[in-house]
Amino acid sequence: MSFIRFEHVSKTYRSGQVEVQALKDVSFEVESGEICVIVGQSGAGKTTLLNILGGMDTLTGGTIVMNGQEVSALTNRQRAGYRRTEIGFVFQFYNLIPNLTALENVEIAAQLVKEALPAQEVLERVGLADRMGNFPAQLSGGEQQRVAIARALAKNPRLLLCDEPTGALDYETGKQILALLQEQSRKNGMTVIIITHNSALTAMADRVIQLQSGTVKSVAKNESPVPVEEIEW
Amino acid sequence: MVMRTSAFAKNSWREIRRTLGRYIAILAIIALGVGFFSGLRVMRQAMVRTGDDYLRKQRFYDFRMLSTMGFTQRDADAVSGEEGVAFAEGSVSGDFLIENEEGKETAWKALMISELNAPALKAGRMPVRADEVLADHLAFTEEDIGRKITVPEEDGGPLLFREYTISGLCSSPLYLSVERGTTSLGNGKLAGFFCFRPEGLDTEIFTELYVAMEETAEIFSEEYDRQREQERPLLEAALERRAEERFQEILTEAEEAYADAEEEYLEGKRSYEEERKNAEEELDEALKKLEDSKRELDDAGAELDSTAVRLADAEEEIRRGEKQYYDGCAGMKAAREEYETKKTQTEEELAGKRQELAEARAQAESAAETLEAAGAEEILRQYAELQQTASALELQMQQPELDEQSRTAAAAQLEQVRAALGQIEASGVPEAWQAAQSALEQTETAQKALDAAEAEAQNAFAEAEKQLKDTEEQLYAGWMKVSAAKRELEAGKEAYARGLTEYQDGKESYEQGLEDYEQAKKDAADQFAEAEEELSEAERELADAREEIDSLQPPETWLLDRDSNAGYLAYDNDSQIVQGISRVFPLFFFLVAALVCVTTMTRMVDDQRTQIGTLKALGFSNARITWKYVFYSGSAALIGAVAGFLAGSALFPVCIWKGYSLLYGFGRIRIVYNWGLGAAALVVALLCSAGATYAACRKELHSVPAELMRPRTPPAGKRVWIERIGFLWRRFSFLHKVTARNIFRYKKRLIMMVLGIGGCTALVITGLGLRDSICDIAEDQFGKIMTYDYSITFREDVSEEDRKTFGETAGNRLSMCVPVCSDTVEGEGNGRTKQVNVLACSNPEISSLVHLKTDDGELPWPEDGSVIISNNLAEVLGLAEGDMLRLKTDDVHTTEVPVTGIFRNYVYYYAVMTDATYEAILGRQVKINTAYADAGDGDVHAVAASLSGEESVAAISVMADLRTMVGNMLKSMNYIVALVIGCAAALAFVVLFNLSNINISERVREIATIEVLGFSERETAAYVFRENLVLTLMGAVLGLPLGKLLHAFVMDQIRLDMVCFETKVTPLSYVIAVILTFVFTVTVDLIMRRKLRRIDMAEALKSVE
Repeated sequence: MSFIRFEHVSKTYRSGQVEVQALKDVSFEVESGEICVIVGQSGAGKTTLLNILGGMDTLTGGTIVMNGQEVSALTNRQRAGYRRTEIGFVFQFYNLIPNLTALENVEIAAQLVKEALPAQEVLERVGLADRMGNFPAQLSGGEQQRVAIARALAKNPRLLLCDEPTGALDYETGKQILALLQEQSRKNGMTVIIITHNSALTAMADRVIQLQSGTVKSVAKNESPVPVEEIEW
Repeated sequence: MVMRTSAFAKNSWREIRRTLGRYIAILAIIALGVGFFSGLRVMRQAMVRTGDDYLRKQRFYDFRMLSTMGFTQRDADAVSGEEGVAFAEGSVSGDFLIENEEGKETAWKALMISELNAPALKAGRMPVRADEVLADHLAFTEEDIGRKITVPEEDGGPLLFREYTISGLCSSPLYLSVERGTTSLGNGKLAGFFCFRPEGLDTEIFTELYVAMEETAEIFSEEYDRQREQERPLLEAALERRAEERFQEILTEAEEAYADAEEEYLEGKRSYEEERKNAEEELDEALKKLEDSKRELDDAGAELDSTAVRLADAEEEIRRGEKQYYDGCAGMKAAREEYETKKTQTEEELAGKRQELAEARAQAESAAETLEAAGAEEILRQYAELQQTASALELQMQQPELDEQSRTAAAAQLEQVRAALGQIEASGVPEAWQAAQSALEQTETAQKALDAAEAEAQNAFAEAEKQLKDTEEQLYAGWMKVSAAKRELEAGKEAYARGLTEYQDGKESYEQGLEDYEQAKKDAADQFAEAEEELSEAERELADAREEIDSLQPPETWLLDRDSNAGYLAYDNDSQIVQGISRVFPLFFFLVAALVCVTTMTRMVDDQRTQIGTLKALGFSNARITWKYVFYSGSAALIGAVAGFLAGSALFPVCIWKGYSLLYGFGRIRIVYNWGLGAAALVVALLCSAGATYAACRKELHSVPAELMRPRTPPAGKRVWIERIGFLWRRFSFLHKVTARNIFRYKKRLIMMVLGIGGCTALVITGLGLRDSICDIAEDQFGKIMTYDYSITFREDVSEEDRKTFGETAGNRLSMCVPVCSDTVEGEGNGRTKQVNVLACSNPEISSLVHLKTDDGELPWPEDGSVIISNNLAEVLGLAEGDMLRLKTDDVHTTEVPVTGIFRNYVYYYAVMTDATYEAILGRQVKINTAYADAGDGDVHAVAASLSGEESVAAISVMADLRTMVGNMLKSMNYIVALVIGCAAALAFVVLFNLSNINISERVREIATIEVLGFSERETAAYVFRENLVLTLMGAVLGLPLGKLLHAFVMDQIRLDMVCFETKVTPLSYVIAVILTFVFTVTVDLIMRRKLRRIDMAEALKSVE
């Protein structure tokens, strides 16, 4: 039994007369503890896929099962709970709450779940032990993204979803972030799904899913993922 | 406007459509602000216009002239001719009573239908006949048209008829408000008015003169006052002049009338005296006549008496005569019988004698024949010769002259003869002869004796017969005489009887005459006394008239203007209340709206910085970009302002007027658009929206596009002051900390929010406070100050004693009954005149019915010689403790009395005092006309009904009803209050909605983030709205003092006649205002939840705008 299973998932946006089919008959599986990279061009449906998986959006057709839970069948309220306990999100633009310090940004997430990790500990883990009291505005992009990751990790989620986590960062910082993600996955056995348009990152993944125009072009299992540090792009 | 760049225009429209909520919110806020502002502001103007229209149409007077002597048509004509006067007209008014079916009397004002102050027909038709009237439309309904009103004989005032028919209903410009004023009749309160045709009234003397001027500005305007002020001296002079002329006329008339009266009096006196003299003479004459007749009567009586005596005598005589007669008759009869017997006897004797004689004769004749035969004859002749010679010789011898010789010779011869004789004799022949001759002679003698006897008998018989006859005749004559006497007696008797009757009659008539005379004398005396009384009465009257004429003063005159009309003044006052409210309140309202508008626009521009940057980068000029936002806010402001102005100007006056319709029912409100005001409001609205937008845009446009396009550096998260209070901060749950930080992050926004919300709270508090200040009056007035259950008015004809003991009459129906003297006197002060309810009572129990409350407690009833007045009166007349209260004792005179205390009171102006004070200052007797009472056992109204059945009760007012009534009256204010509250609530709602809306719009990303983190819907909402609630709380807290201030400010502008308000806001109102604010917040939050739910997390997080 795979950890995540997409079965013929489709998603159609309807705005007025125009129908946009973002996902068409998407089926794939991801195993628990894997780092899965989804690649594809802009508009290939990556974010849609992630949003649906993360319980931020609903699907039009098909079934999504995560860890035995049928995500596609959740109600709004259940989805909020699902996001709360199962999912950790990392966004391209961090989306930290500007009015909270780094620690507080983590705490706000940590307070949502029972088995949360201590916020301070998580921040230390992401290398921000000395920036905990700073507000997002006082942090660099990389630091902010670290806080965002810490916020996601603090909830101790089953699944970490990262949408272009390095998109707004410079090369080095991006690398560090990715390394952090890889490390967290390996250490804690956490399933991580990373969306990127950068194919180079596929090397770090256990599984690579290629999306093109809303359909799965390929699902490849990478038997020998390399540490991020060794990847160049 | 034509947008050159259609895409740009599209963008603008799209912006509006996308943020329709906000757009509408701005529009609504501006509309509300402008509407409220212009609506309330224009109210006074609308009221003035409406009043002006009405008064112009009904030709309301400009001046009212009064004179103690009234006016005539000549006065009216004279005043009409004055400069500037359009028209002057005499009019008659007066009070009268109507008795209804239950016998209760109500007092009414009679007005004359004339050109000025014309009644406005509300229903039915104008009166045509003299006995048709128009009735007060507030006191009567259409059903009453055709009904008759009956005026009692007395107290008909100037009314000519006893019965009038209502032909229609009308309002009168003289009674703009519902207040109908007071009167000296009935219960002292006018129930309404009637408008009569001049023919239906006694219009000989006009009671007043109404003057309409040619130039009249709008009512209540300064221009109007100025005009009147200018004309006043002229008219005063004219009035004075007319008054003087009229006085002279009246004086002349009076003198003439007096002269006539005097003439009449003198005439009367003269004729009285004459009549009296005549009457006395007549009486004297009558008396004389009576005395004459009395004398006559007495004479007649005496005569009658003597007649009676005479008659009695005559009767006696007659009786005697009769007796005599009868005696005579008896004698006569006896005489006749005797005579007859004697005659028969005599005749028989005679017949015997004759027989004897005849026998003797026959014997003698035979003897003689024998002798003769014997020659006896020669012997007897010788013998006779011898006898002869012897007789001759005897004779010779007897002769004395015969000598003795002759004697002896004669004697010797004689002896010879004798001897011869003797021889013859001796022969026996002479003897026998003699014997025969003697026998014969004897027979002859017997014959002769017999014949003589017979003759004698016959003679005797005849004599007796004659004598008898004579006696008989005599008897007869006596009888005749007696008969005659008898007849005479009868006649006399008859005459006597007649005389007696006559006498009786005479006596009777005399007595009657005497009685008549006495009566006449008495009558005359009475009449004289009466006439004299009358005369002296006339004399007194004359004297009075003289005195009156002598004391005639030139008439006092008054030139009154419209301000002396209670309705006009009240209308001015009421419109000023509205103005008072509209002075501050809408401004504040507008301020709040403007503030919110500014906030919104600033934040919108803030929000749109990225787009501004993009547009700028695309090469749009600053002006164009600015225009986009200015268009956004400006169009909202323009539409809102225009709509608000139009709707506000129309709706507010109509709504408020509806409230006032209880007080002023004379017409529909005239809707006034004050374009200047509208333009000003529009400008301010545009400034607050477009101006604010422009300012915000300018600030943003200073930055370079690149900077603008970058996601705005989130304002540095800052530690807020509250964090420094460690113990407090640590108590906060984590999310509360977030809220706290959020709240204090943007100082400016915080202030705007708090001010906006606080302003709304303040507005609501003010509205509610208005209600508190106004509505509690009835409660306080009748629940705490005037606590009696009834005010009982006595009938006029009830004795003082009955009034005083009414409490005993009522028995246990009343638990307390205090008779008082309640009077209405005009008080003066501060240049104003107010109707003061004077309450005089010396009964200590009054203190438990009328409470002279002050802030510190309750005052005792005033001492003699001083008064305690109500605070509203003190305020209106500008009096303080220790000042003198000036009261008008009549139209001209005033009196003063020291004020020793001021008590709290809301309705009517009161001055309370003791009986002694009343009598001393007003110079009139205390007249107990009212009793204040508390109900004993039983229902208040049931007791009232049973009491009104008492004969002495003219009217009984149940204070509970009055409380309701006053409450109802105040409801007209409630309309305004409700309007204010409604508007404040609407504004509060829109403001909160807007602020909330902005809050959410600005923080979509943040909200999306926490949602993604797994915040449940409720948690998300709580996260967002907690801030709103805190802000609301802060706003409310700020709003409380702000509201109190604003309320005090607004109350300060409100002044009502007769009713004064206490500036107070009850705690409940504060609570309600706060709760309301929270309710709005929560409601807004609930609405906003939908918006929250609609936030697309994916979309919100995908990009940075």
